[in-house]
Amino acid sequence: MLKYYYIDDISKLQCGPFTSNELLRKNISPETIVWRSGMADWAEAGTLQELNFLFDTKAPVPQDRREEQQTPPPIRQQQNRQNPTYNSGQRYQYDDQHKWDGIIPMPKNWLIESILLTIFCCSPISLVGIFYAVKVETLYGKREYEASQEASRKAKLWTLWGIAFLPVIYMLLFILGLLAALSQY
Amino acid sequence: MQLFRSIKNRETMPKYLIRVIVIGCVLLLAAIIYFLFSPAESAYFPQCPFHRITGFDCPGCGSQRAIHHLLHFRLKDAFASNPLLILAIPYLIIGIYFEYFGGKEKYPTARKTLFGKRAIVIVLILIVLFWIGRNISFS
Repeated sequence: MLKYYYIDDISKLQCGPFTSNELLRKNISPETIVWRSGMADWAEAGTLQELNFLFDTKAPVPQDRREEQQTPPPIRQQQNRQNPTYNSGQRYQYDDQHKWDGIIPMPKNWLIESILLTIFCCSPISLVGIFYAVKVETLYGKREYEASQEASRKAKLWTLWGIAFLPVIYMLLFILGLLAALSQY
Repeated sequence: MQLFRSIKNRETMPKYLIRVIVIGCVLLLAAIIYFLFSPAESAYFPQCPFHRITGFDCPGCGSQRAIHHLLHFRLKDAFASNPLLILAIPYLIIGIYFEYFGGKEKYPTARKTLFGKRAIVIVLILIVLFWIGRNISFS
């Protein structure tokens, strides 16, 4: 019988093992990170066809698979990666970086939005957003996930400031023009 | 809870339909406006604030004229107005597909080549060089 492990969305705690029927009573969303024996790596529950019945009440509950598919997950020794099943109940933390490899997606780098605003909307401020896009990629590559997310937040801030900046400048120019016109009388 | 989940799941079925409709409508509206009116002659188009204040061209100056020329298939005039915009259009179309229509999940290696760290640095340098260059040659 196949057993599933998952990482709770809120507590980030590894839970399991459970059968697929037991998962019905757990708080699993399509975004929840799931692993079962035979899978190469953790994946989002929504991407696994066999778990679709968790999110769609109409789909039939699948029969549990046979024993032969049960193989232990590969241990990636190059990355000092521990076998995820051997320490169930252990708390997942940011500083335990290698555990998050392949689990945390790359934060949005806002590159496309920055270029669009810089070139199409005359907003040189958005260029700073591109600078932070480089930082997002660099830090994510270094597995500094929290710092990468912080850079992503800054990229968003600068990119969006680019849009906010335009109406503010137009208002100022309008008021200045109005004052200049008034002073002539 | 189960009912809510199933509704949520059904909503994602026409996966990018809403995005396609919204982006399509905005693009169509903008295209109609920029096709009908020439930004060079009409007073209602916003002027670049950077150009207005400093007198220098910013990387986006001339983009409205370039779009107007492009919609009338005057590629040469469009290129003269803002060459960077013309070159950026194909890159941005691919970028929007990768960012908003599932491209980055489908082709992670291509994403890394086209929009990874090295690519972003090149884009940044290109824009800054273009910004400096167009102000030197035209002043």
